[in-house]
Amino acid sequence: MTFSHRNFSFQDPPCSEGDVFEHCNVMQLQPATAICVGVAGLTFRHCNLVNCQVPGDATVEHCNAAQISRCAHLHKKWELPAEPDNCPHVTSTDEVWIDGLLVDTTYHREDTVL
Amino acid sequence: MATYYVDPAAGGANDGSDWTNAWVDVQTAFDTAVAGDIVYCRGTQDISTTAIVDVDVAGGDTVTGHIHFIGCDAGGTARAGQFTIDANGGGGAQKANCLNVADFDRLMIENFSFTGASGDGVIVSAGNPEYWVWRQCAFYSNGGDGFDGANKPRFGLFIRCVAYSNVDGFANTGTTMRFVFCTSRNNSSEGWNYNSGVTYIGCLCFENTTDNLSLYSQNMVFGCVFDGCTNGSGVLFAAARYGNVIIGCRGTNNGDHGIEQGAAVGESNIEDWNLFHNNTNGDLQNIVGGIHSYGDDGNHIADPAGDGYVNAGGDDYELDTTATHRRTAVQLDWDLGSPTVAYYVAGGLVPTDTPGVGGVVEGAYAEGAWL
Repeated sequence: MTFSHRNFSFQDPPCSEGDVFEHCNVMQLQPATAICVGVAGLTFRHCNLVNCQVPGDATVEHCNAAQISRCAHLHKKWELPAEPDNCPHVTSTDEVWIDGLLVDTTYHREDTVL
Repeated sequence: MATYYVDPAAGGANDGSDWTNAWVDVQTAFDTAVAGDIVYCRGTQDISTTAIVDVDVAGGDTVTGHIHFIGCDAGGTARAGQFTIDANGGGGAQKANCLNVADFDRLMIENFSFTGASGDGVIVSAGNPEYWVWRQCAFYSNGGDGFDGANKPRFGLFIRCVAYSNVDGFANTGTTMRFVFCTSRNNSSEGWNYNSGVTYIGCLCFENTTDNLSLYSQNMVFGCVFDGCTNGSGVLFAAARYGNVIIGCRGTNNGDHGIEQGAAVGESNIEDWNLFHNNTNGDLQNIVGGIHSYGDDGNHIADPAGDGYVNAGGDDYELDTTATHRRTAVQLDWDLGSPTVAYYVAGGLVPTDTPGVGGVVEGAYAEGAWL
């Protein structure tokens, strides 16, 4: 079966042996998330495979397979584990001091490409 | 006004004078072209071996006009989405972006594709650039947003562009921007996100994950389709957002509401002449229903029998001949050059309310790659 232009974000896509995925979004929340475990002969073509770990025999052509640590503060609608304000994704901070007291901190955050 | 050529596979003099002697790096064109120039580009620029393409040298002007980049197919014919900037072409290290717009006004980018970035496909990193035109461009399979106007471009226009398989399709596009016959689909978050003062005409937004269209304030939305959002609503107004107008649209088959307003009634957002159907948690939340709309709200005319599309499951959003509120159908066939990538966009507002009478402009833009 060929899947074309489907959105399988944050889920294990339906997989059967020999399936072809074209221009599909298979992005996962966490890095190195295994998808289609144990299914042989898959082909992914022009897909978004961010944070995916595909079966070892899968054919991957022109796909985006970046591994990205996502910041829960930046993606509030995604079901990411809660993080403290000063999370590992903070790239810089702006502090406001009044009379020697820290009254406010602005955190600048980015997702981290691993 | 000069004409230049870019082809990463060219093997000639690399002086941009014609296809044979084309520049092999589109960055050279962005660094050289000035107001009124035209740059034809074909092939794929694998920037994994070079650098993120920057626009930081020059723009167009009000005397000579835009700098115009036109993507072409292998035969040199201008065609939608044909010149690709690939941030993950395989030859080197994946780049964070395909194109970084760092100021300058009046560029027109036509028939480009931006793909493979670990971050945003196109990012506006500085300068509030004005009067850009994006026509028949594709932003797809990026690790961040397809297009991120992080530094708030203004007075720009997107015509027949498509964003798919990104985080957000189009994000932070800035105020006073216009989207005409564009598509945003299959993104992991929103189709359009964080926008104020934007006008959407005849756009198609479907099968995104968290919400299809997420708006701030003072947006105008005419003749658009919001269908099949996995977990969210067709249109979302966050709390305290105001002055949005939704007219002649279809909000259907979404996992939450057709239109969701994140606060109590009174935020001055308006919907009317719309059609809602099969939204999991009801068609409207916290917004007064329009008396000319179809849906399950007490103000609506009636709950329609169906969504009216030929085949939403097959991504065919043309309306069938019996569809209620058929006025919102404009068939648009945009060919990206691949038989697997053909888009039908249902949109367009016609003022009458008689199905089949002046209500459908089929084929008006069905000439293929050109508007």
